[in-house]
Amino acid sequence: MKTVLHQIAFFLLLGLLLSACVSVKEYQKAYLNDEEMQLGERKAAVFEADFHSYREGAVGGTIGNSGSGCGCN
Amino acid sequence: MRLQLTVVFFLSFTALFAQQGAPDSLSTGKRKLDRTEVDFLFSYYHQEGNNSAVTGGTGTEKLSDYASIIVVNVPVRSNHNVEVDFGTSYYTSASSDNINPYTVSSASSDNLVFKLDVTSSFTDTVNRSTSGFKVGVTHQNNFGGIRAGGFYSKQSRDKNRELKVQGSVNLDKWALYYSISKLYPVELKNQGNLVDTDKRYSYNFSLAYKQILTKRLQLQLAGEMIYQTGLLSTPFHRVYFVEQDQPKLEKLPAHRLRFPLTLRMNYFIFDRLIIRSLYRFYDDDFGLQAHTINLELPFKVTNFFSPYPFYNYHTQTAARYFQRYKEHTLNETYYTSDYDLSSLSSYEIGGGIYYAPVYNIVTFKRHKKKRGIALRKWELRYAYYRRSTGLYANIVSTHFGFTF
Repeated sequence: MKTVLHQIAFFLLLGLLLSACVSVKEYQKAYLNDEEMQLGERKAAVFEADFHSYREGAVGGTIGNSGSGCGCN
Repeated sequence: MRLQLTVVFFLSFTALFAQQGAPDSLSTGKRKLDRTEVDFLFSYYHQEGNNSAVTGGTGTEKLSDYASIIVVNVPVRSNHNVEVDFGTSYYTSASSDNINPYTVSSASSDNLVFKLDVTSSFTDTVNRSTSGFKVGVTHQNNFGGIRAGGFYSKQSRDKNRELKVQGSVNLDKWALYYSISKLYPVELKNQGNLVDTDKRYSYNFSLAYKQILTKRLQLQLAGEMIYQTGLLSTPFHRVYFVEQDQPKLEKLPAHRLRFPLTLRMNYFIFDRLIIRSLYRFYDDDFGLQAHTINLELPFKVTNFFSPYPFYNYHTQTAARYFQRYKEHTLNETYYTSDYDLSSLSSYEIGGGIYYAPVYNIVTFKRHKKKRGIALRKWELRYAYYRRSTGLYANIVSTHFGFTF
């Protein structure tokens, strides 16, 4: 139960943080538009994400396999 | 517990997206495609371990996998893109030899996997939204499936926030061309029908919220719900019991509900250093709970060349149906000795280089006036993976990005 309360508190705090953020204009986005800054995984990491989803019990939230496939290799 | 978490998570999304932004401005993020892009990806993966589920949690897990993916992204119109992903994977596995439906013979076996996905997406610049659908098919020696899904995303007026909703359905089937009983371990082949179905259905729904926080910091929160039903066990995994020497086929519940929650945060900390980070919390009704962190530090030697180290740590509790070799008892309803569902921690450490100059790495032209084919970017990665169960792996992958 304590863990659950911690998780809820974490996401509520995150929500508060997000609602307090500033508006960034387009001409101020030089750093954010850098290819390395794009959110999401690199294309070259797709193979690692796939084997993680087979060798570990957790899936989802990444570009790897998210529930389908036999995972039997 | 999971319901509470999901409600809080989704409510936070809704509240956040209700913020009002600044007036319209220039577009952001991905550059608009004016040429066809083709990506070639290759990898070599090798693992060693001694807890194969095929032999009941003991025996070699030695496996080598050669995989490739070709991604073709075609701008059909200025607002319509079609992407075709074609992937192949050829693997040799010592334990897979024991599941050959026609022979049980030599020291190793090989398998070939094909995957094809087609995605069609439409962008509405006036409404700042993108929508689309995806269909796909997977085929391998003992398994096959089809899938379909759709997605919708919308940006805020100042393009500092984006909400994306996705849903998909996967319809998979074991043993496409023969009876599933041919996949059973050899000593169980003549025991009649040991499973209720040879089908597995997966339904995914996800919600992702992206937020720019400052000129150098942005994050993404994503929640996913995965519901699986059908044959969730593997029809060639053996389980050994305390009371007898004869194994049984792995048995798992016919339903599984899985909840991954992911937070990504990218920070351009100095002019040359970026922090790319990920945290994932995972929970499911098999009793498996996991935490994963990933950290990557690209260092921009120039604007177009960046080497980077990365580190990934994962820890999970065991599924309630897992026991080691000969630790299960016959009075249990569900049982598995698959170490992928055991209590474990793992780390992965590695590095890569990424090179993408503005005027391409090299351009191949037949005529001076034509644009030709350009190698636009190249990436190379290596990783070493180690699991607390003793399994370890090495993987090398590379990516060539062309424009036509």
